[in-house]
Amino acid sequence: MKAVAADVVIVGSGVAGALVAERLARAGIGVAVLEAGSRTDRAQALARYFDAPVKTPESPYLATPEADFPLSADGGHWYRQSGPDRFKSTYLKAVGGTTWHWLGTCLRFLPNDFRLNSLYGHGVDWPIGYDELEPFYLVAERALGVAGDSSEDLGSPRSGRFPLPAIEPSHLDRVFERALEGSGLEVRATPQARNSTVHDGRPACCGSASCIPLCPVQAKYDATVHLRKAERLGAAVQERATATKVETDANGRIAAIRFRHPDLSEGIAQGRCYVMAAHAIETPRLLLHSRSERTPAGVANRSDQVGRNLMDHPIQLSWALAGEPVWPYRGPLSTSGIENLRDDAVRSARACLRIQIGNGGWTWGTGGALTSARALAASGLRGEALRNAVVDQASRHVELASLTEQLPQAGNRVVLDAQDKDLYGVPLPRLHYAVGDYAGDGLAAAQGIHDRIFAKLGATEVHHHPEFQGAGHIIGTCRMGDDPAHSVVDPTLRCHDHDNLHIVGSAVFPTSGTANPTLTIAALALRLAETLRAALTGRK
Amino acid sequence: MKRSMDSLSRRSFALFCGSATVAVALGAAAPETPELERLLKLSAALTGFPPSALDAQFAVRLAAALTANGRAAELEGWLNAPDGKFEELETEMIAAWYSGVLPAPSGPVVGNFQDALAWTALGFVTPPGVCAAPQDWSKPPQASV
Repeated sequence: MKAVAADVVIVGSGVAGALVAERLARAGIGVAVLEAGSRTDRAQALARYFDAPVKTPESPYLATPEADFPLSADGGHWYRQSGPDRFKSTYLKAVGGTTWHWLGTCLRFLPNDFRLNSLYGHGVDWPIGYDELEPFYLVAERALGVAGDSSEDLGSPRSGRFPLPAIEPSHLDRVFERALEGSGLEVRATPQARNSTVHDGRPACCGSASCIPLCPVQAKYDATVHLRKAERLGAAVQERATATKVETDANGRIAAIRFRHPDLSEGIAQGRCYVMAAHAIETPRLLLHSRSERTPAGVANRSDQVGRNLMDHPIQLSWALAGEPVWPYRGPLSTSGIENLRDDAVRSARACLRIQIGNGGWTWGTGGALTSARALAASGLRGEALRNAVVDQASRHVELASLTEQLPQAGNRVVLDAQDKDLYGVPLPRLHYAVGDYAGDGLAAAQGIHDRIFAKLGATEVHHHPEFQGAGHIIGTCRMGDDPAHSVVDPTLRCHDHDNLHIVGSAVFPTSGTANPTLTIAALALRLAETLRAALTGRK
Repeated sequence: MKRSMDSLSRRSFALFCGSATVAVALGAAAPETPELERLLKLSAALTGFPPSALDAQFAVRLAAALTANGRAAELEGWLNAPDGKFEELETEMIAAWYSGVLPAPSGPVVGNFQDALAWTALGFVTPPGVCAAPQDWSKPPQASV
């Protein structure tokens, strides 16, 4: 049996695990990272993307029986779904995790996002406030190399500047900005972990318009950046090592994490402390599966909260033909958004939202420019007339996505499937999920706001997707709280039940807010790394 | 004599009986046959691009895909008399040329993503995944299309 020993054992090599690994390794602490997936060759991934008939977020990556993951195009792949709604967000198993196909948006939560219950009577408050996280947001922005406009705080007060100058808004963004002047809808440049200039040994964004699913030049930050640094500092990354069980000792501490390789050989990883960083489906799945006499409901689950409160940012997607050419299909997939609808009085009644302005034309809604010709040909156009119509239309394609806040609901949860297991004998994740009225009313409101925006643009052919979309933001399932009876981890991200087990990632978010979660994941991970560093080295 | 036999077999296999695999296996460069020339010329009329802008290999694979879908007779009829009676076939072919995706019997297959005519037509873009120039997107395109 393979034995791995380190001061700290981390499960998962996405942005949360990679940041913790790098910070601890830098302090001279021994780190081992268990990662179910493999290393990805960027050129090969790009070739797979080119060759994929449908360009889903997963299309450049290999879902294999040894490290399988859910697929956007097939709701029954890997996930077992009980409904009533289909959970549509997915994640990868790969060295570097799902940052391979994230968009790169780096918004902070708003101060009021931490107090949803006190202020608006919904959900719960976070046990920490914005002020406590603010210094770590700043450190996270520096770590990820966020490009942003430092004069614009977007409602989240800043104690320092962005490390990189803002990514230029697209020409399309400026058309929206002009059209919406005086409307109360404020178009603002989106802070993003995308190089606006050469930075950290990586090039500036070259505008390949493929951030989801893949940046061809790594101008967009992904977690392999910090994994590489961690490995150089001595951290050991065990790839193709799927954690299968968390074991406790008689004192209620974690004693080991068992893992298996694709050839089914077993391994055991042991350390002084353990960090679960396997995202918001796999982390609760592993904890729930780790049942024993001492932990009959699974590890860290005396509260019965593990797996509960699964959330996303359900999206209303709408698209239209602008009145003038806006020249889409260029640049990062989004460079601006409308951020001043994320917190107001309507939050008592329905979900607030943020609006992402897309540079990718109709790609998400219809498949985009590639599919325009079919519809135009079916209407009878041929030859030069067809070609001109394709150009005329595709140069006017605009698309809006409103990300709504979803409330935590105990019944929205990850459980273990009763029948189906993976290659290693671990039950597949079964999801119970309903969008709910609060987010549902937000989605309906979004349609009205999109109509208003499209009208200001002089747009025609307005389409609202009849179904909500997944944002790819998997949140909840191991909530943070002060009360051990109602939460899984304490405000320092330590499990209430086990003093040497910590959880990082969006799994610990008590509520979802409307900000894309990655920057908050990073800030919390860096905060945990600081706590662990101080505890393990005895130095402040 | 050998050349014409090759030419005949390529034509019959690749265009009307065979699969895309056969077409590709028979030669990296697409065979110059009267059928192929006609296919390219008619595809040009459909798509609004000159025949020289069309990838002959893609044309061969498209014909093979349609053949494999049981549409050989329709394709042959259209090649002989493209008089507007084949609207659905024409739409299928236009969709393939502009998207670079072939309608293979097993499901859609990418024939040529980067050279899909949609990108060529738009002119102001690079295909997704291909670098343009830094910050280019902040201005309207330089060259008019």
